[in-house]
Amino acid sequence: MNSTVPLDRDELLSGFAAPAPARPAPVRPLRPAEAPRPAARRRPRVMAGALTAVGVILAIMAAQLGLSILVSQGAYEVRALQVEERDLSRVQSVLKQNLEKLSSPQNLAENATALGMVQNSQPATLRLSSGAVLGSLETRTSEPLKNTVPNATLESMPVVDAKGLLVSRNAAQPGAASGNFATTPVAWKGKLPAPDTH
Amino acid sequence: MRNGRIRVRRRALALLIVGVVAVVFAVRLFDLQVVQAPKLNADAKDKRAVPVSIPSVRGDIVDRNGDVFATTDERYDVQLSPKNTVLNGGRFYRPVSPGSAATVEVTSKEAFAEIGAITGQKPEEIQKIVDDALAKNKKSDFAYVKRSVDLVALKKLKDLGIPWLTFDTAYSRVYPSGAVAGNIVGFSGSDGKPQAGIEISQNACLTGKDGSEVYERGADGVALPGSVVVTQQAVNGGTIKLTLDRDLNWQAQEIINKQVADVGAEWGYLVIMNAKTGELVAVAENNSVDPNNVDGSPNREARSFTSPYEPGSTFKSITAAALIDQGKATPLTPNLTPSHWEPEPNVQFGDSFVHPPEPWTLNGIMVHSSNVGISMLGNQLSPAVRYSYLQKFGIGQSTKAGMPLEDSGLLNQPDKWDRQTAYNTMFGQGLSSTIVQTAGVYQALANGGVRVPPTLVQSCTSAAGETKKPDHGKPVRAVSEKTASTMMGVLESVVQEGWIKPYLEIPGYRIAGKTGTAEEVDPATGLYRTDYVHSFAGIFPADDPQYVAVASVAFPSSGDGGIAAMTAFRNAAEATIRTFHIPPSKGAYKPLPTDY
Repeated sequence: MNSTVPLDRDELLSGFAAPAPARPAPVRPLRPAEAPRPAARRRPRVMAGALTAVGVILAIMAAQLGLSILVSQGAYEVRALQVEERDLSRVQSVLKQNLEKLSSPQNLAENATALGMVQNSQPATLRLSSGAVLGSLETRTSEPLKNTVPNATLESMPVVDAKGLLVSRNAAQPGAASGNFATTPVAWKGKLPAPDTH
Repeated sequence: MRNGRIRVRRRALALLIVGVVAVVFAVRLFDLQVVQAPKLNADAKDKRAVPVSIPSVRGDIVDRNGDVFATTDERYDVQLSPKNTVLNGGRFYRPVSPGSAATVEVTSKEAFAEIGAITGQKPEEIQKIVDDALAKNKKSDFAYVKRSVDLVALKKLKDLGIPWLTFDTAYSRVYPSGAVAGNIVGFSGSDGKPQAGIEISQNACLTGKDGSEVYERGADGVALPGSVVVTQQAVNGGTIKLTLDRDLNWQAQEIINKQVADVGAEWGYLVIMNAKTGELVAVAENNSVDPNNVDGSPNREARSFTSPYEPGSTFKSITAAALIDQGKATPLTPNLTPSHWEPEPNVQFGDSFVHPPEPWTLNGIMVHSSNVGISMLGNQLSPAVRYSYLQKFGIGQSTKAGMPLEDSGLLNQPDKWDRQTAYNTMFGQGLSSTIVQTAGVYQALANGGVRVPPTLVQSCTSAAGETKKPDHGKPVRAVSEKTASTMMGVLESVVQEGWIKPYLEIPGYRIAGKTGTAEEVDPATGLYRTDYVHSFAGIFPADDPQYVAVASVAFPSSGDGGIAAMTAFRNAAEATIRTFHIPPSKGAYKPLPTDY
């Protein structure tokens, strides 16, 4: 049997796109015009489509607006946080530098002197392996030397004396230029030790 | 019909107009979008986009334990807009309190007073800044009120809410340890440029790389979302770690300051060096500079590296070591030593005290520090041989410890030595060395004869954490291990047998060392001065050498400079023992005969 099937070209074409004018107009007998009922039926569908489209567009715009507001709000938040981070890191570095100043040998030595501490110049040592004491237990102590190594960063910082009073740094060093702070002892201004009440 | 025609014409006309307009628009559009586009884009970007330079922060200089010598402080420059201060009749409004809606009227004059109260300026001074700026340029928009204020002042100034007051970040260098090692660390100018010391020599490591950032911002200065483009990240400078110990360096400075003051000396230096590694743990000079207040000190240089001087008798150790190393002598070699000697016509020298010819051994010659004795024995070595030993001990060559300038000292070629100099060099005259070079000589003797070049800069650690060690030179064997050990015995004997013993005693610790009393040439006259530089170079503990210290006290006007130098050495040794917890010596001193 032949596998090729003869095709009717016209039939094929008409099945695909049959342009209306190509067809012979149907013969219509005269009769009263019908109300375009099918159109009335179709209109709600068109309206619904249009409304949906507009709705979707509005929704997209609203979403975009919302996102945009969120993003720019985020930008302000980011900036606020960046400013906060910068401020905190500034405070941190100031505190760190104060610590460095306070831990300088000059400050420690001047505070130790003000507290009346002396130096054990030749400390004795205990050898753990034999339990022997090396060096004399009554080694000489020496008055600590007055600080002669200047440090301009400490100028305005007071020292604490044996009574726990803040005194001028230069008061302990006669001959040194006096600072612009009070040379008489001033009362401790920090947190006072809490009384042990019951 | 007529109407229709008119209508058609009208339509045609309208179409024509629309068409013409459309063409005009199209041409303009093409012009804007294609012809002028690149230029306009560039212009627009400059208006919206703000290029911001991200400054890098200069690195810290720290000691061997990480204690800070130099760091970078963020400061703030206070600026104002002169033209805006006179806007609206010199009035502006600000909230009654921060965040409140109510405003209050403030005049510029009142504002000047408020600013001045914080910056410490008089209102008239600020008025003058404004007037001067306006006199120069009526539309002046920028003038500094005060540069480099701290964070507390910045916060107070910001709280004033003055619209024409602005602030800018400025970095400045601070030195929290003040003058501790100020001579070594150096300092920088107000412009941030390094001017001395490690700040200069290690500038490449300390300097970071500025970054830049471009972002587009709205009218209120907030970056437009998504527009930040970091084009170049800033890289902060690296950290320089020195071999110095901050606390020990402070003690050394205290010690030398006191000795210099006590004897009214012109200057004094004191260095402490690790005997095994050549690391300088303290480099102290009297009255060294406080980098925070450079104008307050005349001594801005690291004189330990830049000011060589004739070392004197401390260099007898080199001659003695050369004699022993060459097999020409032992500590027991006898020599009948007069107090004055004229080996050749017009060449003569004497000892520091008059004595009859003494039956001294080489050890005795060292104990009594006899110029005549060391020269009589040292004469067995040719100048060339002695020159080579001086070189091996590091004399005449610049150290490479890490400073911008390290003097080589003066060591002429032996063929340029005149007859007197040929003898003088045997006891440390006619040549010069920095105190660091002298410390290097004793470091070699303390380290089994191997001289490790002195080190000051331990490492550079970049911001990324990469550590680099600078090259300080290769270790040099100066004398054999046996010679070094023999010399340690001689140097301990010098301390034990001489009059100097009581000034150097530290209970439990054996000390070895040598005094020096050197004549110096006065640069003004070209002749030797009549006063001396007194030194003591020592090693401790003598049984297991850990550290070398050298103290020099120059030209005392009242008191004994020799005792001052020895006291400085002993105090420095005590401080070093405390700092590094050096265990006491084992064994006892084995006496070496001084006479035969």
